[in-house]
Amino acid sequence: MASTAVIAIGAIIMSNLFLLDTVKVQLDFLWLGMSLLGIAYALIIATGMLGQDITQGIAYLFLPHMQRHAYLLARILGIIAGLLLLLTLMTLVSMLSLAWGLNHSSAAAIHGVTLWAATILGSVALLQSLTVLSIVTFICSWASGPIEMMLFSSAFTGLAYLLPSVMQAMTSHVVMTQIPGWTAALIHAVDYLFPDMTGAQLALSVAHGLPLPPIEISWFLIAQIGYMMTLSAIGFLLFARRDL
Amino acid sequence: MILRQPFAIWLCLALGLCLYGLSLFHHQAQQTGRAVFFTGGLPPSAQQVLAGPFAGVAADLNLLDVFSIYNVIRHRAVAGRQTSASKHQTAPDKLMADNSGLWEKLKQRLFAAQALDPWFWDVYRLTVGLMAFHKQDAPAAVNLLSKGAAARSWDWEMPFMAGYLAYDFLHDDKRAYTLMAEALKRPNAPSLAVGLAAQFLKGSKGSAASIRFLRYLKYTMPASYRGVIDARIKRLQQPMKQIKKQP
Repeated sequence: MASTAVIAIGAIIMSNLFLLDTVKVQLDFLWLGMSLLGIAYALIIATGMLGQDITQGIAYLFLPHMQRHAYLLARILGIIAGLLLLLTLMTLVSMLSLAWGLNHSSAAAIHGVTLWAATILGSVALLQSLTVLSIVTFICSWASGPIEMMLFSSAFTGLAYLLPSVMQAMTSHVVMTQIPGWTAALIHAVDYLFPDMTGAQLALSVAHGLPLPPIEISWFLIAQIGYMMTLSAIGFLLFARRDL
Repeated sequence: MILRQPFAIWLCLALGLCLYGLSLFHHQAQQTGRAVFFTGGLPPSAQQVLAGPFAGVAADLNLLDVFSIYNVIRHRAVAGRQTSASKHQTAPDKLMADNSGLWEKLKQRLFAAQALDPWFWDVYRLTVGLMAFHKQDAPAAVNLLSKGAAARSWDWEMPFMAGYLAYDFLHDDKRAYTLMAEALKRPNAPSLAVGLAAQFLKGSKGSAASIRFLRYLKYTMPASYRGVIDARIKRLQQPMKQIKKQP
């Protein structure tokens, strides 16, 4: 709770350092805060809980009475409920902070930004956190210790953040004309292994009050949900067969 | 013996970090040769890769860099004036050379911020304020503002300023006219833009083309612009009539 207030106040302070586009700066920092908050929850709280369950024998208390997949599903649903609570609170605090920002900005600086901007950013942050949670589920289903789980989940998430932009640079026309075909196929294959965490740069459009392209958003959502389902399903399959 | 105590280990860690941090600051100060750190930055493409979904924040941080660099330039200028007033041995030329490096860095940060967030209004306002009226930076300012005009399709200010600078500093009437005509297509463009666009077209293609352009504007622009357009057409037609009467 305190972190949500700190993020909102921090965004207001940062926006006051700028000249004209203060609402945009405020939304930039709110987005950074809520996104990092969701990811930190998924990486630290969720990995910690799953790691503790699997490696310290807490799962043994439940598993004689229920199937493994039911146990894992219930645990993950509990973690998602906590995430929803956190991001809903963050979105409400962001809306309050944004209302203050909108009241203290000129009409030209606001340019189409409404209170809904905070809700859209909150939804994208939720989608991102759920993707990270699917990564955590996958890693925790086979990794043997809590440190391993934390390290691999963080590395996977870090790569998922950095790779889309690196791949964009590597698959540019200039690069593609200078490398052999099989290398290009390899680059694309690596790209497909990681989810797109850039949010199709939705946050930038929302912060400027620009219209969101519906087709691009639909495909982004389909890709994210598909990726989450696939990775979680692999995680559940591996968890059913792992040594406990 | 003493290192077995937990407090001593924490103290050792804190001291080690302080010493290492101090050496890093010293190293960077030696490299840059000035007292302000972290204004170097990365090229825009590298920043785009590192920023990922937080391109907006990366653009904001670049602008904070611009403020910091400009602050150093201002302090140096004040210090330079004071030393030259008291006739010390500091060479003003050296100061200028140092500042030109900082101006270059400032320009790079503005370009990086623009590449990361092409809709960011503050970037263009700072471009006009800090770069546009220096003769050597005007071409870069026109380029940056032209990019801004393409991104901020609802805003007349970017093409208007770019057009004016192209005329005044680059003496490129054709480019100035194209940009000013673009400004006129945007909502709430000032009536001053009508006169300027006509003048730039006259400079590059002559009075007749300018009058044709104004007549076209008369029927495409809102009615509130008609008075200004008519006055401009009359003013352009007068010398043409005089030329016809002379033979």
